[in-house]
Parts: sequence; C-alpha cells; structure tokens
Amino acid sequence: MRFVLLPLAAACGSREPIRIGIVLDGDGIHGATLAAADINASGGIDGRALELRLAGGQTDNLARNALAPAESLAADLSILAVVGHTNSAASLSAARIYNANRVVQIAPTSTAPMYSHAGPYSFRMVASDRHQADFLGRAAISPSPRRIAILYVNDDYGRGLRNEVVRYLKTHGVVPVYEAPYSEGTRFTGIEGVASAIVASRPQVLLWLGRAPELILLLPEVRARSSGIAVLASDGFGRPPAGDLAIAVQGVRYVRLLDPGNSREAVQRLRSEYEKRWQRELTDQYLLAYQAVQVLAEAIRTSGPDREAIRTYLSGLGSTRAPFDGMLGPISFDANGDAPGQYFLLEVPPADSNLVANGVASASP
Amino acid sequence: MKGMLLRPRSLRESMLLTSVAFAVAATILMGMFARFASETRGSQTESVAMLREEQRIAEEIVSGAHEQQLDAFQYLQRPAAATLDAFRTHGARVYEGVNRYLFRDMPLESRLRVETIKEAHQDFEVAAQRAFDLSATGASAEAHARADVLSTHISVVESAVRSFVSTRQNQRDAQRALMESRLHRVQMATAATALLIVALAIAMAEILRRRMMRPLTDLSGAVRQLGDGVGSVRVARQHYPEFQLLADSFEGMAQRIRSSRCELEERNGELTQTLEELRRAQQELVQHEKLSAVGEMLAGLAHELNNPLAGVLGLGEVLQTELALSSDVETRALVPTVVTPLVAEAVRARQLVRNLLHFSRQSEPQLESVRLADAVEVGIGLRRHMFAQEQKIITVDVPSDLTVVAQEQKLQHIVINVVNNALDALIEGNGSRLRVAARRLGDDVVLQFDDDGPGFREPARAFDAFYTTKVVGRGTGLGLTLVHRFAQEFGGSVTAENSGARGARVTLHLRSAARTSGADCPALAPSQPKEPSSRNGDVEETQLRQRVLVVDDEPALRQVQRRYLSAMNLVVVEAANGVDACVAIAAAPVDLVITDLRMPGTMSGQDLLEWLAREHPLLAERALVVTGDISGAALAAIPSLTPDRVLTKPFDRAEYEHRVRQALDVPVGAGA
Repeated sequence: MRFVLLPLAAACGSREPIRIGIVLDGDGIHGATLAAADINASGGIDGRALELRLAGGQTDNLARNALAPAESLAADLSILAVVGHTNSAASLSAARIYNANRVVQIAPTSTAPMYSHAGPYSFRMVASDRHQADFLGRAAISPSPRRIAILYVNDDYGRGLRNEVVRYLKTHGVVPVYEAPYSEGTRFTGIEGVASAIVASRPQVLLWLGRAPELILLLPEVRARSSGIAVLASDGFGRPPAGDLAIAVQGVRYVRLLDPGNSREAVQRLRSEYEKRWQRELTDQYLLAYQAVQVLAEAIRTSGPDREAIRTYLSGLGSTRAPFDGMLGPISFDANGDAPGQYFLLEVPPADSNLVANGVASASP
Repeated sequence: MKGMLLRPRSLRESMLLTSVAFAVAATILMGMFARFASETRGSQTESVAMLREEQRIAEEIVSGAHEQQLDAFQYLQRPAAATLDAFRTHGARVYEGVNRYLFRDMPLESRLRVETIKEAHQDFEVAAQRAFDLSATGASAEAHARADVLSTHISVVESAVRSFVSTRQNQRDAQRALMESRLHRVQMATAATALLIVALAIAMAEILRRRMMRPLTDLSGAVRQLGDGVGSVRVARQHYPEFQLLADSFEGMAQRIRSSRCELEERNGELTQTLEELRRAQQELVQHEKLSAVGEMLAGLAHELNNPLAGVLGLGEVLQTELALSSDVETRALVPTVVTPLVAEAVRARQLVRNLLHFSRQSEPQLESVRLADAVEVGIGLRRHMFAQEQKIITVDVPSDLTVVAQEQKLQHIVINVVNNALDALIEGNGSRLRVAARRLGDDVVLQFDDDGPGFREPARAFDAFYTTKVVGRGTGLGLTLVHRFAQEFGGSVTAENSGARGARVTLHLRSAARTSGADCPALAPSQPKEPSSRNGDVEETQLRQRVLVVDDEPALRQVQRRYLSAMNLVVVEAANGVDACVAIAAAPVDLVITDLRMPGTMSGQDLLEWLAREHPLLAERALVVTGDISGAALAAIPSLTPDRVLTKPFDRAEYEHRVRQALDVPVGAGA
C-alpha cells in the first residue's frame, strides 16, 4: 500500500488530509491521481488536502486478490471511501467487506448485474449489464443475424452479462448456436479447439463477453477457419490494442461506456494530456476513476468527512438532491447505487476506431 | 460544589447513595449477565444456524458439481442440447450457491476459500467446455480422455468446498472457544464484582452499624441517665447531622427538664408559702367576718346608748364639780364616795361605747405617712406612769426614721391597747418587763411587743371580739380586736404568740411609708407635729361676755353643755331645734353655735349649718357639731367640717372645753 500526497496538498497547511482508498490498476490509478491533483490544486476539500491511499496494485482480474486490500482499507478509519475495484468480480468480492464496515465503495467500471445487490454502500459510475446486454443483443441481431455464438469469461462479469444477453436473445427468438466460457490469462488454453468449435457451430456473429487479450489470441484462429464471422465485444474489450496486436482484432466492434466524442473542455484537456503522455487512446476507466474521485470529493465537501454522510450524499444524488455536475456530465445514482449508462459501439479499424453506433441505457432496470 | 464535598453527608444522603450504588452495581451486574448470556446464546445459535446453512450450501455446490460432472460425461457419451442445458443449469446452481457465500460475513480466509471454490468450478466448467468442443469437432477420443481431467476438477471443487467448510468449522470452534473464554472472563469478572458488592455491603453495614447503633446506644444511655435523675447529661458529638440534631435536641430537652425541675421546686416553695398565706388570710377572713357580724349589731346599740350615757356622764361631772364646791361637809363627802365612782363608771361606759363604735366602723381610713416613733411615744407616754407605779420596766427601741402607712390616732390606739394588755398581763402574771422594738423588714416595718408575762392562754383567740382572760371589769374584750381591725385597715397585719417558755409577743407588720411614692398613695400626707396653742392664756379674756348658742333636742345634753359653758364664763343660749336656733340668732347675735346633727323637726343640724353658711358665713366657719357617731359617716356629708369642730358624745369635758376655746379664739366679725 502506498500513499499519494499530491504536491499542492502542502499548501493546505498542517491539517489532517482527507483520505480515500484506491484499488484500481494502471489507467484507473492515473485517472484518480489526476483528479486528486486537480482538487488539491483548487484548494483541496475545505482547505484540507485530498490524499489517495493506493492499495493492492492488482494487475489481474482475480477476485481473490481484491480481498486483502479491501480488508486493509475498510479497517483504516481514516479512509472515508474507496474507489475500486478494477473489475466486477473483484468489486463484488470486496463489496461485502466494505458494506460490513460501512464504507462507501465506488466501482468505476464494474457492470455485473449482481453488483446492484452488493449493498447500500456500493455505488458504481456505470449502469448494470442488464442494459448493456440489451444494447449488445440488439446490435448482435441487427440487421437480421440469427446464428450467434457467445464466448464469455467465466467470472462474475462474463457470466452475468451472458445471462442477460441470452435472456435478451431469447425474448427475440434467438438461441445461441454456441456458448462457451473461458478462463483468462494462463488458464486460457485449447484455443484451437475453441476456435474449431465456434466455427463448427457456423455462427454469423461471435459475441465476445470478455476482455481483449484472450480475443486477440482467439480471433486469428477463428478467422483462419472462417472469415465471415462478425465479432461483437462487450465493454470488457476496453480500448483496441496498439501496434501489431490491433491487426488481430481488426473489424471487431466493441462497446464503450463513455462518449468518445465528448466535447467538454475538461474532457478534451484530459484526453489531450493523456494521449500526449501515454501515446495511446484514453480509456473509460481513466475518465470514470477521475469522475469517481471528483464526486467523492464533492460528497465530503458537502456532507463532511464522515463515511455515513458520504453514503447519504451519494444515495441522494438525483433523488433528494440534484445530480452532481461532474467532468463528464451529471452524476446520479438509482436506488441500487447504479449510474445511468450510455453505450457507444466502435469498430477496431486498421489504424483507428470509428464510432459506428451508440445507444443510451436507462438508469433504472 | 466544594462545600458540598466537604460537608459531611447526612444519614439520609448516605443511605440513599449506598442504595443507589448497590442498585447500580446490581443493575450493571444483572445487565452484564443478561447481555452476555443473550450474546452467547444468540451467537452460538446464530453460529450453529449459519454453519448449518453453509454446510447445506456446500452440499448443494458439491451436489451440483457432481451433477454437472455426470451431465458432462453424458454429453461426451451422447451430445444432446438437453444435456448441455442441464449442465448449464446445474452450473448456474453451483454458481448461485457460491455467490450466496459471497454476501455473507466471514473472515478473509473463508472468503478466499470461496474464491477458490469459484475458480475451481470455473476451471471445471471451462475444462468441460473444452471437452465438449473436442467432441463437437469430432475428436471424441480426446474428448473422452478429458473425462479424467473433469474428475480431477470436480475433486478440486469438492476439496475446495470441504476446505471452506472445514475452515468455517474451525473458525466456529475458535469463535466458540473465544466465547467460552470470554464467558469464563465474564464469569470471573461477575464473581469478582459480586464479591466486591458483598464486601461493600458488609463494609457499609458495618459503617452504618457504627454510625447508627453507637449513637442510638449513646442516646439510650443518656435517656436512662436522665430518667434516673442525673442532673447533667451529655451526649458525645455525632457523625451524622441527624444524630447530632437528635443529640442537641435531647440535651436541650434535658436542660429544659432541669430548668423545669428547678422551677417546679421553686414554685412548690412559693405554693407552700402561698398556701400558708392563704391559710392565714382565711383565718383573718373568718376573724373579719365574725367581727363584722358582731360590729353591725353593736353599732346600733352604741348609738342608742350614747345619748343617755352622755347625759349621765355630763351631769355626773357637773354634779361632781358642784358638790365639791358645797359648803356642806356631808354633801362634799358624797363626791369621792358616790359621784366620783359614778363618773368613773360613766367614763368606763363611754370608753366601752367608743370602742364598740370603733369596732363597728366600716368607713375607709384616711391613711397617711406616720412617724412610728412619735405614735409609739404618744401611746407609751400615756402609760409610762402606770409602769413606773407598778414597778414594771418598759424599754423602747424604735428608730426615729421609720415611717409607716397608718392613721396616726389609730396607730396610737394600737400602741395604747397593746401596752395596756401587756401591763395587765405583767401585773397579773408577775412579769417585769415590756420591750417595744421596731425594725425595717423589706418593704415593711415590724413593730414588736415582747413581755415576760404569763403569755396568751389561747393565742389563736387573742383577736376574737369580747374574748378576754382579764378579771371581770378590767377588760372589754375589744382591745386587741381593734388592734387587729386597725392593722388591717393600714394594709398590715398583727400576730399574737407566746415566745418561749414565758412571755407573749405581739407583732405588727406595717407598710413602710418610705417605699410608697406620692403617685402610689396620693392621699398620704405627712402628719404635722401638734403645736400647742400659744394663745390659751388669752382665751378667758376674749371669752368674756361671749354668747354661745347650744342647739340640741336632748334637754339633758343642753343642760350638761350649759354647765360646761357657764363654768367657762360664757353666756349660754339654748335652742331645741334648728328653727329655734335661727330665731335665737336673729334675736341676738351669738359668738358660737354648738349644734347637734341629728335633731327631729324640719331643720336638722346640717340644715342649720347650711343656713348659717348662707346667712352668717363667719359664724358657720367656727360652729361646732355634736354627734354620737364617731365613725364620721354623718360628718362625711358636710365636707367643710374639720375634725377639730366635732364634739363626740358622751363628752370628754376637757376636750369639749378645748374645742370651745379653740372656736372662740377665732375673731368674730361684725356681722356675727
């Protein structure tokens, strides 16, 4: 666990800083750090510096690795809230710990439907996958494909999204011709067999409910066996890989949770700075982490440095109080702590991604 | 606040605080017991229920995994969509079971076990899917070969579930051990607290016993002492204000009892004295009542006797004088043999009548300040010659500065009567000495007569009327009775007693005039020493040729007065009533009018005096009044009448002549 006391915090004097925990990976940490820096640069929270306590350093998607940081942060009473975790499985696994300790958890990008029932202290900056499933299902059967193969990561994210997509397809009279779970990382084996099985099912569309690395490995094998299968990836795909890896997923259409064309000045500034610094495309995780820190700072500023007060503030956004005008737009939460979602469908081009479709999800189930 | 802390707590406060402390302690103890028991029961019940639930979920997971395994084997043997659906349905059940663990409170270790189960199950499903894929792509042999792998995965799942259950069991055991340990500590703490409360209760009981029973014992002893009559009872200083207040109250009560006892004894003494005085007063009252009854009877008798007696005495004296001037020897011899004894007996009768009138007199005395030595000297002076003649000794020791509240004449009368009684007793009893002494005793003056005679035969009857032990003819039985009457009139008292083996004592208690201010007794006036008339030698000359009008309805008394006045070389004019007197005065001027008060007819003596006051004021001023009423009741109706203008019947010739000379000494005006 390490601390990030941003330079401007020193200007806030000797008063005890406001601390929030961060359990994210690369881009999430960067976004949260930048948000804290911006807050401190504008005077902190009522004159007190905002200090981020980075925990875990989790780089994989295993839920088990989220537990120890969650325990650590929840037990530290100086931590007023936590932004995390990286994925739905980790967020779900840690949610019980945060709720048991009455500390607010804001998951920036966790979309698993089950997270809606994680507890009153669990919020997220995105909508439930019930909405993404509709968006994806609609995209998958449009204009009229009826043979759809589904490959999903066998964790809380993939299973949840798969169930919702299958539900949607069934309501539209479509039964997937192939469904298969997969394991991530080193456990993703038997790729040729998977590819052969997919091709053997003769799908028109391959619905990928997982992350990009495994698709990058799998898709060339599939395309080697059949070139006519369209690939539709969920938000787990993230941003297209850079360089040669992008070739493996060319033509893949994928879901983004944020409007890549957001013209807000702050967003543009961040985008510009990010791309200038990291030489790659800005991710949703970066922006949502930034906005999660921003809304937490506002909650503390408005309601005081108290865990329960923060929860009360957040749960009232959009209901008992006006939505918070965040960098990306208004922020509010429904009764389950879910934010309203927008979905944007992009395609991985040879050189760049182009927006091909978008959809808006309602905040309510 | 500081004051409150320093102030000793009252017994009530101490008891209240003690009660509150014990109640709080007991409540805390009971609360601890109840809470701990509740927590223990709840925790154990919850723990058991939770463990059973988790075991049931574990069984569902293992069961579901095994069913999935069977589904997988079946699908590999004979691929069918229904089998695949069953596989996925059972997988969903397993997944749901695992997620039910996800939202339960459990330690990190257990939560990691859950994640292990989940991962093992995910791996199983993915492995099964790979086998299905092989089967679907025609690699049936390879697919079947994967069956063992699936079994291995299921074993891993099963092992993970067992590990989880075992971990939870261990945690529960640890928790139970923790609870038992806590229970043990609480039991120990409770026992220690109970012992402490008991110890405190014993200590408080001891303190209360010392601070309550000891004061009560002290007070009980003090009460007993007080009851036994111990004069001064003290109670030790007490700790509690209530007991101190009680002790103070008790001491105050004891002090009041002592004071009351002293006061009671003092009042008892006073009561005894008062009772004695009451008894004496009662005796005096009885005496007074007896004398009053007798006096009333005698008063009328005396008045009736007075006029004839006045005639007898007056004529006797005239006879005595005239016979003494007779040239006949035999006639003159009648004087000592007949007339003188006759006059003496008449004088004795006059004295008896006067005593009777004094005795019956009811009027208020005119009290004044009288110098006791003068009154005693006058009284004794009249009898000093007799004492000398009888060779008896009389000694007087009366300080000249003693003054008493009395009427001088009556006080002299008292002295004369007592001295006469004493002289008679000394003569009869062969005594030799009378001692008269006076002294101041508080606000009173005591005049005491002591003789060495035979003493009183019955001292208690000494003041009874007509009680006398003298030989017949010597006493009237009224002397000491009048002494008693006069002493009472003066506001004093008199006692008679025998002193020692021989002798009598008469003691007069008179009020001292020195103590009486003018405001208290305005009627008192110092008596003026009597000055003898310096003009007595000139009287005869001025009386020559002077005319005196005697007005009396009694011819005998007119005759007696004619004799007296003629002997004084005065011209006597007589009138039988007031009207005749007026005629006589009108006919020829007179120098002096001597008139009886009580006369029959239309004009009494008083009417005559009023007529004189109007017609002849100067003659009225010197007029003399003759009356048989020595009490002065009739004279009181004539305020202008002074005592020196009153002639009482029967006449004392010397007094009569003195009064007449005194009246004629006043120059008569031209109108007279």
